[in-house]
Amino acid sequence: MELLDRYLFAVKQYLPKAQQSDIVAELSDEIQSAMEDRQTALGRPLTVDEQSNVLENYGRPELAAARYLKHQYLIGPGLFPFYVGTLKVVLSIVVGLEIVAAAFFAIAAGRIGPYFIAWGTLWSSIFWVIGVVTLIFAIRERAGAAWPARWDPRKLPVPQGVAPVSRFSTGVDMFFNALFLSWVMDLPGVRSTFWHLESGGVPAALAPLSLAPIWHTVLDAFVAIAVARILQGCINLVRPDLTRLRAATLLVTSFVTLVVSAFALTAHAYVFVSGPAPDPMRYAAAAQALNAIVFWCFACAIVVAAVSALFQLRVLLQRAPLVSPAARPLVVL
Amino acid sequence: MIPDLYENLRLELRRGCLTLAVLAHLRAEHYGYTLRKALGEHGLEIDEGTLYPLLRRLESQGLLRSEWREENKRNKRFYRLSPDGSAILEQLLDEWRRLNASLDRIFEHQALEA
Repeated sequence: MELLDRYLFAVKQYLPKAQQSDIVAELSDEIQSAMEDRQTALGRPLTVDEQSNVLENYGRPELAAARYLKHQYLIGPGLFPFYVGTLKVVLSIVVGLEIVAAAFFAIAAGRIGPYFIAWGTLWSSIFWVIGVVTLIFAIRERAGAAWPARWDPRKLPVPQGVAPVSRFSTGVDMFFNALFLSWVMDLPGVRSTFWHLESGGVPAALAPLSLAPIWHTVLDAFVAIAVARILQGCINLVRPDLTRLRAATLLVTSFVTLVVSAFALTAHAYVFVSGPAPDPMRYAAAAQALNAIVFWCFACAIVVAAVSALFQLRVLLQRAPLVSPAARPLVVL
Repeated sequence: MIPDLYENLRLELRRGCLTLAVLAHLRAEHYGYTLRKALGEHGLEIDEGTLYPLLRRLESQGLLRSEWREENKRNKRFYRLSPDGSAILEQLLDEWRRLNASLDRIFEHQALEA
């Protein structure tokens, strides 16, 4: 019975100390009885391979022992929905605060790039949050604490006419707006590729070309739009049900984009030849081509912003909540 | 997908029935191995990985009593229904009969409609 002893010893390692001898004794009797039955059927002692086959049917020692353990999960079905909900809210708050704090320090310092480069710290915050929330719920599960059974149906949110704001799309939106801010407010590494306004510097390839002053106004407006979208994103991460806030923000920012783009269209010139160029005709042609491209970009932006504004206006005007016929008020006769 | 789904639903359906069958069988004293064989002979195959944890759970809930005794030169743990277990078993059997009757009525009604 050497194999059986080895199997029982292996199972024992995974059992709680207080129950080890009891469970192993019972399991030993069970397996011995099964082996004896098999021996009787064959009319001879079992070979090592046959013993091995019997033991294999009892499963790996880890799994055989696990069946006797009470808690085979970290967070059970009774707490899991609340765990996921808590995780979403806490993560949203932490991510939102990190972005707002980065933006605050960046604006105070006059440079935003380094703060957004330090997004590596965001990942450690996310892992900490997940770890701490999971630990708290696992302890709660272990202690057998259920979520309070009493609740008030009157506190349920009123269904909106549109679906809640997706946290994923909000996160993506915030990321790209922050990336835009990083670029506009001077992110090292990016400025070597693009020119930046504050210093008046331009990359070597565009050396004799400069930006027209209208960009100061346009970019200031776009920075304000990006900041507004990040703030709205922070709120929607915590409260995805505030669909009207998102619609209102998008309506205002679309309108501002429309006005700024229309204002920009009046300029016609966005880059000009500012310095001595080795081939003035070539640079003048390049400036003309760039001006045409930027002009049509602003024209397209007007159309997109107008469509977006109309769409958001429609969302805002959808006041009637979606209530199923079954949920209509009861009429008492 | 469908075979997995069937297997999950089958296990779900069997779970409660097995508890009832184990409690019913333990009106008479059994140790684990003979209980498993007896259930198998009645068409309710149950693997040891399910049976022994179930026996322990039922014992910890006070529905079973157990004692170690020597039989055939080996120590065996014998289980039997406790007085509380007997009372609960009767209630569960009543519920089982009611459920069975309801399901029969539903199936008959559907058979007539078809």
